[in-house]
Amino acid sequence: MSLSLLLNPEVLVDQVINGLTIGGIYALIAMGYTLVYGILFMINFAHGEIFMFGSFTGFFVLSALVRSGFAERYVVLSILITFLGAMAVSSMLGVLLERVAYRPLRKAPRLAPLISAIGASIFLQNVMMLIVKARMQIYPDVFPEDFIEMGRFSISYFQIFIILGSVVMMVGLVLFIRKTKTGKAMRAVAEDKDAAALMGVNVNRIIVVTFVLGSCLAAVAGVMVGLYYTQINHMMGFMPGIKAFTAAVLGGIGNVAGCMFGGYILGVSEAFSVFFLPSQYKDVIAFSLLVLILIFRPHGIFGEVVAERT
Amino acid sequence: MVRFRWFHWLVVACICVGAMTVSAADEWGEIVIPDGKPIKIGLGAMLSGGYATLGIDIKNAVEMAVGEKGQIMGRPLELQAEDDQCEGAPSVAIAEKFCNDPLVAGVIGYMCSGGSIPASDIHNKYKLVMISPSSTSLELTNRGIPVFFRTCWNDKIQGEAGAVYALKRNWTQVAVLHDKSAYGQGLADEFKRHILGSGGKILAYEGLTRGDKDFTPVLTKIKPLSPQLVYFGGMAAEGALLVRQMRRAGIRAKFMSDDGCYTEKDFIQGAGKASLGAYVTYAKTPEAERFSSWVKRFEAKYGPRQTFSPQSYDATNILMAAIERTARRGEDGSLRIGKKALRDAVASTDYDGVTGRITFDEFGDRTGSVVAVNVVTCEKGACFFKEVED
Amino acid sequence: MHSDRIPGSSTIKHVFRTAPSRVWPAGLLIGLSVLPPLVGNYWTHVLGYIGVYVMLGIGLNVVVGFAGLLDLGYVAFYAIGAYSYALLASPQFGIHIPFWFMIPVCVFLACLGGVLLGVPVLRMRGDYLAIVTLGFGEIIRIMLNNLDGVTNGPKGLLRIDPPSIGSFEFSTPTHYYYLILAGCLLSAFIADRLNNSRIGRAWIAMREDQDAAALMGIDVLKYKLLAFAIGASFAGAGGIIFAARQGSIFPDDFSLMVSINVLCLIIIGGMGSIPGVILGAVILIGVPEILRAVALYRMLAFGALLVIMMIFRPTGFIASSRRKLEFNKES
Repeated sequence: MSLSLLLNPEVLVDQVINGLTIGGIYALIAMGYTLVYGILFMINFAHGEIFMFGSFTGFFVLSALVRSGFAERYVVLSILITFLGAMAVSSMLGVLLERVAYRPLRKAPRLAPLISAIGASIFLQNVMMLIVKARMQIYPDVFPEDFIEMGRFSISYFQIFIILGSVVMMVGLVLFIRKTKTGKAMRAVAEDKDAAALMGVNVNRIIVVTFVLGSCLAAVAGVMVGLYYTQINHMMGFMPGIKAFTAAVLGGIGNVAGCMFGGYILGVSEAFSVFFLPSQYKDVIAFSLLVLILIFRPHGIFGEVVAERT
Repeated sequence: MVRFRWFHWLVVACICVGAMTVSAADEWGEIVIPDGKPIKIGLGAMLSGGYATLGIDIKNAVEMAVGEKGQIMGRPLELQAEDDQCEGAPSVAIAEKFCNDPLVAGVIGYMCSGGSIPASDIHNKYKLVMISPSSTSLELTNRGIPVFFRTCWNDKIQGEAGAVYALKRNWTQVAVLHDKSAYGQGLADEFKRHILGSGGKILAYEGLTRGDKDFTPVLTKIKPLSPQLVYFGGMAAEGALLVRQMRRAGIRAKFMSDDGCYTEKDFIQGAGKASLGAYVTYAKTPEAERFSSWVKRFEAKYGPRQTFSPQSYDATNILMAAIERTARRGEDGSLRIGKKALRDAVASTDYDGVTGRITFDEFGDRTGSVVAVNVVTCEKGACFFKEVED
Repeated sequence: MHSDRIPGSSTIKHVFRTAPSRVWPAGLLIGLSVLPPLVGNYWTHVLGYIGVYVMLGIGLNVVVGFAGLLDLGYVAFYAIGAYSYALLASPQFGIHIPFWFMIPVCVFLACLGGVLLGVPVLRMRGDYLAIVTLGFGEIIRIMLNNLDGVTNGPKGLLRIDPPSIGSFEFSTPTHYYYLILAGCLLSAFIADRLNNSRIGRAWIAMREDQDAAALMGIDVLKYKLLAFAIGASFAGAGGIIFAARQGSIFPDDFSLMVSINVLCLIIIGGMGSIPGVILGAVILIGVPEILRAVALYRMLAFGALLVIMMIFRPTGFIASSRRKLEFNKES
């Protein structure tokens, strides 16, 4: 019965839209992983928590705006302020994280920064847990809930917002890296840190910029998730973090454009999986993809093969 | 590494054997509260996380009851609340803790059926009484555990009430979802059974992952089947997300869920406008004035009440009354409570609580529960649950 | 000496002459044995809980501490041990295989799991290995939660048979305490033997410089696989003991948190050193039980400690001397 449903065009289109929506979120978060890995060759395990902090900051900002009545009069401006606030806090957190947990370990054996990252992740989850007393929070309802119906198909304003928004942010990032001077410096550092330093690039500053960029995108994803799903809790960074990492690896870790595709592929795979497996198996899709890719094609779909380093 | 001589091992073996034979095997035994120590009432509920609203509400009600009683036979009453995470594993760990704590006379718990079912095995091993205010799974009374009681209804009654109402409204094409927990899936199964038994059709039967937020894929799968009603067995966190995403996906079916969604904060506020018109089953509100005056007293102290505070208040009072009836003073000044006598005292309870008159049947179930269907209604800017007229 | 002429006294004399290095571990052992009647049921129960984590810690120590592989999915082997026993010794299928017979079975199955997981992943780099093993661990948990027909899903497996000797059935925390104590001693003994064997030396060489070790003729992949499999075996043993003691198990007993807890205790206690693992277990698992007010901040402290330890004291509180050499050399 499920398979025949697949042949129904409106179901197909709807499901693709569902997949692209959640995929856009994954892609935004994945950018952070891929940027940091490209430069430091480490997995920023705490990136999911930066996403979570962005979401909560957005919650606090938006709630304040709603309480003061400002949001009722200036909806678009309020949402914009929410995004900016989240981006600011997440960036600061990212910079702090790099300075405290990663920079001292740049020369340490490879496992040390990973363990430190795990520790930072746990620490941040619990900080938020203590702040909100482990209760979930609910974003205020400011976004229009309506949907557009075009014949038999429907797409909600939300979904349009997320899909377009994520594409715009990511294209913006890719352009930044390709066209600006800082972007060029980032690519130089990713290529060869010492050579870039010799050429006069301030490596530490570039690393900080990388963390800021990744954190901003994660914050945008966090606010989007907050507005769209409305429920947020202190553990919300864990699963999306792993799934975003899967997306980054799928696209080829270190490859910024590949990241985007990785995210959408993952999102759509998850959405379509409900036709083949009961929907409670959805998370298995992401983990299985992760394991399979890392075993059989660790450089991802768009990545290049890099020499094995132990 | 040290080399051990043979007699080291002999000494160790003797001690081990000796200690094992000396440690008492579990019979019903007695709870002994030494002079100067308090009587502890244990509580297992979810105090942090997705359904904490419910758990904290339960804790407040138990705290209120313990505080009002204050002491039994000169011994202060102390509440020890533990976070059971609405899950089996922590509930079992807490049960072991309480059952091995010599000062705990009885436990109000556990919050969720998924926790109460395995914890009841532990309680049965140590013969410590447990009264749950909120675990409604049918399985709890099927297993023949003499120390288990509950002041709430069970899911056979609840699932049936929901199905009967749905059939009355002619909603025969139903899609059923559940959260894959002992409670949610159990209820969904009961509901499904009744619908099928009366000639209705189950168009879909799917599980969700608790903690997941995105249900759009499964909703997209259900939409073309055009259900008249979507029934959800589970809790408010998922229920609110579900009904919200349903409306966004353009699914116009009615939504019905269970007591897990009977919370003003998590479900009505959580789902916003989408919750309007949603149906939720819950115990029929008692007529007695005692109930409404208790609610006023409770809310003055703790804020708006959630689902199970009345049942928790009653359960605590029943337990404390039973302790008072069975406790005797020992010669050494200690307070002694026979475990079997305590259990029997609870079993023979005939108590007028805020939720009505409470007696237990031979399985520990509360006799005579009635479950009603409520609908989310908004009047004068406030949204709340209102019982539908028969 | 006069005592030489007294027959039968030479053994006793020998013991006391070589005190204290011989006496104090013996004393410790005797002390541990008498604890249960002294501290009562509740604390015996807590000690048993710590003991299971000690066993897990010793096992993960083999993988992380000895061989240098970060396995974040270690809990999967624990689950294999626990579920294998629970499925074959409970009302679930009506099969009731005795506990003592199941111990080697569970150990073997967990070991097999280690080999099956190891073969595809051991070529990977450290951080990728960590993530892949994490993925495996989570897949196992989700499958356990969803394969209702076999594992009973989230409702868990209940009424698991306790171990029994003849007609005597294990039931109180004290009974399990001794079982766990025996398990810990055995685990520590095996781990110690491994550390001082050829295998152990190969692991050290591998950990310090994989390429140099390969050049010396060490089959790196084989030794990595051995580490994985042996480490998994310890978890399997821990799993069956856990299942029997608790009487019921659920998929959520085997979440990522368990892997992280065990990782924390060996990192903070001391990677590669067995006393360190024990200290780690006592501090990280035992203290929150004692100070209930602290329990809320436990994970917060774990997280902070991991970061701090990596930066300031990567060898842990009680480091093995070899690890100290390694880390100091590299910085």
